[in-house]
Amino acid sequence: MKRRLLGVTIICVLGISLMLGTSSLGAQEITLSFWDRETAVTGPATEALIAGFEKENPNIHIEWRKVPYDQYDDLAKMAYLVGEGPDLGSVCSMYTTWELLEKGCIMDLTDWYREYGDRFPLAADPYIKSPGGVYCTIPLAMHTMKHIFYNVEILENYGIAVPMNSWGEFLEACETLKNQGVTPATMGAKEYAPCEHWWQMFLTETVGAAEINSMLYRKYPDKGPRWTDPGWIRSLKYFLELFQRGYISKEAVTIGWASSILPFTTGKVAFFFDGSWLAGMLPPEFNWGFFEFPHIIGELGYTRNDGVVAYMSQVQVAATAPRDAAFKFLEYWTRPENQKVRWEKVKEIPATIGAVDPKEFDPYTRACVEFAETCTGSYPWISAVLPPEVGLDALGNGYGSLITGETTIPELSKKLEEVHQRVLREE
Amino acid sequence: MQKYKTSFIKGPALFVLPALVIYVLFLVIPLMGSIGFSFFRWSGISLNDLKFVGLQNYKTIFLQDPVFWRALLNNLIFVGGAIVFQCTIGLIVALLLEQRLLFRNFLRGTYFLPAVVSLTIIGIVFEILLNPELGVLKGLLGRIGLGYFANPSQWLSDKNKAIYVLLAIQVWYGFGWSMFIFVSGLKSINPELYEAATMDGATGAKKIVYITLPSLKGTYAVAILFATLWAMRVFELPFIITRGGPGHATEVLATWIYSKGFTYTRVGYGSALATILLIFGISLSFLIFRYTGMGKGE
Repeated sequence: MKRRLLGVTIICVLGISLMLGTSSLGAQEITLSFWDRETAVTGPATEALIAGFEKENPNIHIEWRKVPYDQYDDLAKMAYLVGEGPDLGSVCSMYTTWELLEKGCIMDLTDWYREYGDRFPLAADPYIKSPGGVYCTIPLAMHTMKHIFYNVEILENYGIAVPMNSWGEFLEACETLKNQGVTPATMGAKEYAPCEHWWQMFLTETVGAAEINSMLYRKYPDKGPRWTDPGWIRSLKYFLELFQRGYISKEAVTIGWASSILPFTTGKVAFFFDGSWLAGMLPPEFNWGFFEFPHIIGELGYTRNDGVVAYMSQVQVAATAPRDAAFKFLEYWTRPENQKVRWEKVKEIPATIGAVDPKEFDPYTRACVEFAETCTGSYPWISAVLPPEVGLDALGNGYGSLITGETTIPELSKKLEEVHQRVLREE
Repeated sequence: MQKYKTSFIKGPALFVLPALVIYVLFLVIPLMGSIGFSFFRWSGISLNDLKFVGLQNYKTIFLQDPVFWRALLNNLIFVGGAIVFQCTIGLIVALLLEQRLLFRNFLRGTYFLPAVVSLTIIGIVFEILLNPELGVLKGLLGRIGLGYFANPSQWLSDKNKAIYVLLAIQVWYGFGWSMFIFVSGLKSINPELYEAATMDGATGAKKIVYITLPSLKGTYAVAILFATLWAMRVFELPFIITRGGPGHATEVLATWIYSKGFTYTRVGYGSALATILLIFGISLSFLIFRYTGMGKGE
């Protein structure tokens, strides 16, 4: 009886061992988690790419999680802190990404770029490298911020000609529209964007891209440009003037980005300013046009062609991610033929060189690409690169305070400088 | 019959233990952690860059942070509004619904409905309603003769008025809870008191003044306590509708804690703000207990 029991036990143990061993002999199944904050715009393209990748690599599964855009940064930071950061994740704020890289939470991608770096132009460098020169993100799209969108019917009805050759002409057009009872422009100022986009263009005119970059990458409290310098103050004056003249309602402080587009697309407002991603979001039946943001006579930008050429929709890789699988996915995603899917599905200009034949571009996209090629100076999104206390708090909340009259331009400039210096000293 | 005695540890403690474990794990430990973090400077990204700064965070809050004082004032406005309007309206509606009305229970349920809806959803709905271009409130109020109130979104862009728009929404949301508490209190009043008053020739109003209101003394305390605590931790409405703006005009302590702690990556500072909020909440509760006589035997 005892011998029988022993025999049965040995057979069972052997059988279980065999089963477990067999299961581990097959190709290793890998799951990569991917947190995506861009799905509102690029969802269809990403879905197609993931399907294609999984077909090519049947042992790698992408667990795609859609995260609301404005919650992404906070959620991702918490996740990385507890070691649960996604293997692949969208990048929101460059400042956060650089911090994550410094703390060892995300992967150094220099090895990947050694092999595939020639897929991107040199202009992408500020968006894919940390200030220390380490590659840390992969860009998927190229966007510009240079053109004002307008409602064709409204401008035709009131006899306003485009393009406008100067900022003065733009203001005259706004005055004409206002006198006719038409709201000239709209913007959302509840959050830092898109009101920041308008202000950035004025800053481009008054100080230029080089000085903006000096401010963004400022390391020392007592060196570099100051928020209280005349050009920086003048940019805020141009910004505030739009509200003081009644061309944009002060109620802009109560609406966010998404709400601010609706008056434009429903024909209530003539002008809207945003980056090139807006073109893909406008309804197909909406008759819109565009012209370059007018230069301001007498300012530095009048003789230059600075602006924002951004390599965006970046993806970063967690330090704990399965490296080979993650690199494989990034390689697949950035192949020119696969990046073309982004253009076909959502009309976004891919970051990869040669992904789309320029002949396929519509007039607006062609204008964006031409600007990117002829731009005399570019800089990244200001609030994404500045320390959060400066970019999101002092500046982000500063727009609303300025518009409602709670603060004045000199007070805001002084506060920005004080906060920035304090943060630099603490760092 | 033999009496069987058991000690607390061997008897009731076992029944209390599961709830106590959850309480300690999910409330006490995080609370202690938050208080601990308040003495550090930390970006919240890696535990390696925790830097002990002692009371520096508290010093900065009290001496160099005007937004903190603005947020505290806004919280006190919510507390005042909750006590004065939310509780008063709740009491009036509760008294009215004690009358013999045809759809009394239906009305009770209807008035209580906002209180069971998520504040997040309420915030989103009001954000849309108050949109200056697309919201319906603007046109609707003007058409029914409430011209002065026809543009609440304009008030939202006014740094002095915006907080009162949020307060109005909060009162609308919360008066159902207060009504519920007062209804429970009204049910506990001995009906013989009313019968005796009727025999003595008391009118309805006198019954309310001399019987109902004094009998609800303990209920006021509960209603005021709940309203005060909810007002101190208000977050959803300012965060969703105004994001604490314009400027910081509608900032409350909870939104400032969130902004500082998460968005601006100053976790230590945010923890210090949270600790201060905790102390204020405890202090207010103590004052309410003391001055309303709550918890004392009769």
